[in-house]
Amino acid sequence: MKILVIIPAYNEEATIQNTVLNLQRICPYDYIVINDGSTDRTGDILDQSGFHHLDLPVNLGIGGAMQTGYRYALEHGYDYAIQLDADGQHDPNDLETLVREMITSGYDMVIGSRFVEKTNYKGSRCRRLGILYFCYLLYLACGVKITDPTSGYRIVNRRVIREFAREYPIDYPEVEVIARLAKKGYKIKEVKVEMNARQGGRSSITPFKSLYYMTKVTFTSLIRAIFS
Amino acid sequence: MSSVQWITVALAFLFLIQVISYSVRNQLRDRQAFLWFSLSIIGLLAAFGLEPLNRFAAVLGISYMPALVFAIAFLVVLNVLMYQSIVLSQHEEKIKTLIQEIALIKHEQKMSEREEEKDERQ
Repeated sequence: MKILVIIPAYNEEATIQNTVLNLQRICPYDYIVINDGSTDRTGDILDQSGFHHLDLPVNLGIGGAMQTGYRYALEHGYDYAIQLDADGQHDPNDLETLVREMITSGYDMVIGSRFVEKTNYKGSRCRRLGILYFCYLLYLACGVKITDPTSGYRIVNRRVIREFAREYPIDYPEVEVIARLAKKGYKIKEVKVEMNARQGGRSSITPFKSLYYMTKVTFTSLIRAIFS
Repeated sequence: MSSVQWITVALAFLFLIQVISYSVRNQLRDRQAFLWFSLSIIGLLAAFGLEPLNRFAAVLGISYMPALVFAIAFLVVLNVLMYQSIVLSQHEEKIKTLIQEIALIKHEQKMSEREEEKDERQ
């Protein structure tokens, strides 16, 4: 059974080394860092540390970077692929939980959720409201109950890897891909995971981008729900 | 022909020359060149046929013919913009795929170079 951990990284010089070292220390799976056209020292750090990575010549955004990882996983015959953020928010200790759940449940995607059970997560009220909004949107549009649709900590099987390698949204893909998979009849499940605060660097989500995020995801999810 | 119609015809003709010039220099290609060539011919015909346009507007109950022309022109420009956005989206997808292909190939190349170095050392 081959498992690949995909780590998309854009300007993560502050955290990338610790994230990969933690991963190497904790889990035995293969990994690949997708350096998404970083303009800081991320590329140098990856080279000097000898971490397994792939350099995109220009910045494609999180969706383009993840899709590159899925294409790599497909080409190299991986059975499962896991997304792990480079900013240290995802705790590699939970990887085993995700993998175990994926294999025993037979689901197509397992999402690491902060809300399916009580965790130590303390997000801002705005962020929690946004997440709640997406939960209801997904329920109304696709009939799936997902408590943490914006979580990027997720594992997918080979069927979904093939699907993602073919088509994956460029920006803010998390909610949209759940809508796509749900409409196509893929089975999605959540398990509890702990998430850390961002360990360094800056979040790319500004108030304006949040507005774009919500509008874009609402539009695409509804369009898919109605017409697909 | 009235002086206004002469000016309209001259402008439409200049636009047609502009499109032909861009096409000759390959700045407009294939489908895009054909699209703009067709539009400029339609514009030229409309400039010559102001009288039929007046009658058509009257049939539709529009007393001020230029309002009809502007409405049609607006719809045409809107559709051209939509077409351009579709082409842009298609190109965006193709460019993304190419970038990913380049990155994957370069990665494979780097890996095989490392393997070769290892073999040489052994």
